[in-house]
Parts: sequence; structure tokens; C-alpha cells
Amino acid sequence: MRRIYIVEDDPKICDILADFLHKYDYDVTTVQDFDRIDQEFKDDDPQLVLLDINLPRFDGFYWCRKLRALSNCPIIFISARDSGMDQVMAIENGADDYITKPFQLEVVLAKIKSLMRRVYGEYRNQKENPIMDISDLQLDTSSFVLTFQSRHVQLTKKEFLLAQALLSNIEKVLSREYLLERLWDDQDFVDDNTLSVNITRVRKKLADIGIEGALITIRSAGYKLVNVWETLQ
Amino acid sequence: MIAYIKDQIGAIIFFYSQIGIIMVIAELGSSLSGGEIGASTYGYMLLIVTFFQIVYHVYRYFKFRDIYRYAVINASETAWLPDTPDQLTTQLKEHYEKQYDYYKQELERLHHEKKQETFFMQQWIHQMKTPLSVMRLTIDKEEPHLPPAMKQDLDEELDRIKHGLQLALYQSRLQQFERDFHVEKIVLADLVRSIIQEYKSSFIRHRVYPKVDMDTSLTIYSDQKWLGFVIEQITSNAIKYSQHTNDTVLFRASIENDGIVLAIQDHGIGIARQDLTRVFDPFFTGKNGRQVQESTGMGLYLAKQICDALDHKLLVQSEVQQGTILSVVFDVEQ
Repeated sequence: MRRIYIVEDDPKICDILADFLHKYDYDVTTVQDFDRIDQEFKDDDPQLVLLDINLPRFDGFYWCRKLRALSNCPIIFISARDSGMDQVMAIENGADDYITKPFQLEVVLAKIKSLMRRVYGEYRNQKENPIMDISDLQLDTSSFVLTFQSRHVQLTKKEFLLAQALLSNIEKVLSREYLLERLWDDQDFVDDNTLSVNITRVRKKLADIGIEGALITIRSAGYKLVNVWETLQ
Repeated sequence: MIAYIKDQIGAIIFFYSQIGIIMVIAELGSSLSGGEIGASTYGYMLLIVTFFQIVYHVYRYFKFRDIYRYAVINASETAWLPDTPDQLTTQLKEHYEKQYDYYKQELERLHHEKKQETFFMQQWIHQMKTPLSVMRLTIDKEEPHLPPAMKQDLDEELDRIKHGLQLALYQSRLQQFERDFHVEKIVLADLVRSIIQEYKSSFIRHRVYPKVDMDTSLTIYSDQKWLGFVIEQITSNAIKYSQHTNDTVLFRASIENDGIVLAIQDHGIGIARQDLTRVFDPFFTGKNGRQVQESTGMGLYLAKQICDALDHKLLVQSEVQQGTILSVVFDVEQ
């Protein structure tokens, strides 16, 4: 269990971050006393620290130096200050990374994961099963293979992302916008047509392994995956 | 009165001394020629008086020369005046120095106030980002329980607040006396891509899609943060004015004769011809501002100010109903 120590003076942000990280199986401790951050750090012995710059009494840079004197534990700054100077200061004071507010939770998670990987090596959670299984329809999240009743089909990355989103929200309508956000990565800006094309392909691949009519288009709302294969068992 | 007499004493003495000389010459001339004053004597008087006049003025000229010749070379440099030769100019100099000091103090006070104000403004903007983060994160957290339309609306409003804060922040930064420009080598494609990522949900929500067409090795010299802000403003406008066209916003970079040109082209409503020259004016919203909400008329104005400060050109071309192209031109020889 990896432990993350959050030092942030806004209690709501603290709570949201803590909840979110709990979901991904991190153990989270939050700051109790802003005068004893170094002491708390020693007691909690976390594997990673999220640190705000604007804190009561001493700023984050000060505490970052303090913590650096104690350990090499990865430290990520979270701050509303977006000037290059602050980021330089942060790195010079021993931080490993910097996230500006307003931030997205996915970004925080991605940065935490990558730092954890770099510092503590590859680490797969015991709970994190690479196979999604919904009434025997299985999606392997590491090889992008979709399996149903021992028939396999290989998905492309985009098809996989769609299938994953649909399977994790089964019986729910997903808007085109939501799916586009899922597909869009920094190399590839996906447009409406690409989405339609990929939906059609996912449909076809489902048919290839014997599942017809599961992926429904809901006019002017989006798409829904209906579990029709339960009865095919 | 006393000062005046002090100043004029030389002139008074000179005046009477000349009268005295004339009298002496007249006396001598008349006694020599038996009561008659001849033309030659008059000529002599004139000559002598002229001579002394010249001597007197030469003396005065050297006394006052510094004051006359003193010209302000650099207006902002100093309030120094040369030493003064007489009471009148001393008075003036004292008065002038008092005023100068007074204005200088006033200016320093204003400087200080402005600094305070800027500091407060920027602090405040940064503080506002925290509640914004909280709202954003709360929405993300509650997403499964929110109606999609509601989430979209909230996202959109939060984007507006964020955009507004960004505008205010850069406006305030631009007003600062010492601007923090760090010009460095920037890979244009990387910067553009990161900004497109930033606007990802905005693109998707408004149903316009970015297309990037540039050499990934193309580099320019600029300030990453400020230039980023300029590209953000242009991008945000491109999305706003071509929303729901299902068309593309094209980001293109090319090497032209006068430098590297980054052109951002949308296929939206375009800008009316009579508004074209005024899009960089502050608070100018034109016809489109009345059609599309949330125009502040500040985005492009600030973008232009920043480009001027960074020595980039900012150009606009547009056809109504065809779209708009905004280009930033970077000098090659830097």
C-alpha cells in the first residue's frame, strides 16, 4: 500500500484529493498541524508528498527544503501560481513536479503514477485485475483483446478505449462529448466522424464474437451498451 | 526688492559710469575745442561707450553662459541645474527643485500604490483559482450522478471564469513596471499542442476540431508563458466564433520571407470588414460581440500588446461567413 501525504490548506481540495486517491488504492494522510509538517512527514513515512505553495506561516518552498533534508521521497507541488519563476523555484527547492490549479484529477493521478513508477519501480496493485469481465464478456486491458465464449478479437487502441468506457458504464447512456474526451490524446485530436467510424467498428467486432445489437445509438444523446449477451450463455 | 537691487547693481553702476565717461569726454572735448563739440568727439564718445558696452556684455555673457547653454539632454535623468549667477535665477532654481522633489515624491507614492494594487490583484486572482479547482473537482467527482447537460453547463461556466481570471491576470501583469519576459528557444509544435490539450473539452463541447500542420522541429524565440497566453486567446476566439460548424481550426506554421508565421484559421462567422481594423482595440466587440456572448473585447487587445512587447507581429485576415485567420509572425534573425 503506497501512502501519500497531502499538504494543502484548503480542506475541500484535501478531501477531494484524498477520496479520489483512496479509490485508486492509495493510503492518504492529510496535514494536521501546519507548524509540524516535517514531524508529521516523519511519523507518516509516506511514499509521495503533494505540497501546496501558499501555506499558513511558512510557504511550500520552505517545507520542501525541510523534507528534502529528511528524505528523497518524491514531492509534487500543487499551486495556483503559474509563473515560470515559481516552477523553477519549486524544482530548485527539490520538488519533482509541479501542477497548476485549477487541475484535473486525472493529471494528478498520472503524475503520481509516473513518479511512483520511476522511484519505486513497476508496481501493479494486487487489486488491479487487467481483465474486465461482465457476464463472460472479457476485455483484457493490457492486450486490448475482447473475448466472449472463447472467441477472441483484437481491438485497436481507440476501439479499446471506447469498449472500456462502455463496459464500465454498462446500461448507461454515454454522450458523444464524453466519448470524444476519452479518445482524444495529445497526439491525436479526434473528431465526430472518427468517433462514428470507431463506434461502427466496435459494433462489428462485437458481432464477430457473436454479440449483436448490444451497442445502441440513442438519437441526440449518445450511445449505450445493453447487456444482451447474458441470455446467450 | 533687495534681491532685485542686488541683481541690477552692476547694470546701475555701468549705466552711471558710461554717463560719467560721456561727461568727461564732453568736458575734455569742449575745453580743447573751445566750447564746441565736434563730430569726431561724438564719434569718439560712441566708440568708447560701445567698447565698454561690449566689455560689460562679454562679462555678463560668461557669468550667465552656463544657464543659457544648459540644455536638458535626457529629460528623465536629473533635476540638476548649473550654479546660478544672480538672485532671480537662484529663486527660479529653488522653486524648480522644490517642484521636482514634490513630483518625484508623488510619483514614488503612485508607483508604490500601483505595485500594491498589482500585487493584491494577482494574489486575489490566484486565490480565486482554489475555489475554481474545488468546483471543478467536485463536478468530476459527482459526474455519475449529474445529468450530462448540467455537467456541460457547469463546465462551460467554469471555463468562462477561468478564462476571465486568466485575462485579468495577464492584464495586470502587463501593467507592471518590470515585466518578466524570459525569451527562450521554443519548439512551436509542442507549445501549440499543449494549448490544444488545454482546450480539449472546449473544442469537443463546441464541436470544432483542431488540426495541426507544422514541422515538429520548427523553433522560435519567445517567452513561453506570454506567447502561450496569446495563442490561448486566439484559440479561444477561434472556437467561440466557429462553434457547432463541425469544422476544423487549423494551426499552421510556415517559413516566409519575413520570418516564421504561425497561422490559426477558423471557418466560422468571420469579422465584418468595417470591424477588421479595430479588433485589437480595447473593449472592442464589434458585430460579433453582439452575436456571440462573453466577448470582452480584451483578449485580442492584450494579445496585440503582448506581441508588441515581444516584437512579434500580429495580423488578422477575415471574410464574413468564411472564417478568420490570425497570424503571429516571429522574426528569424534573433
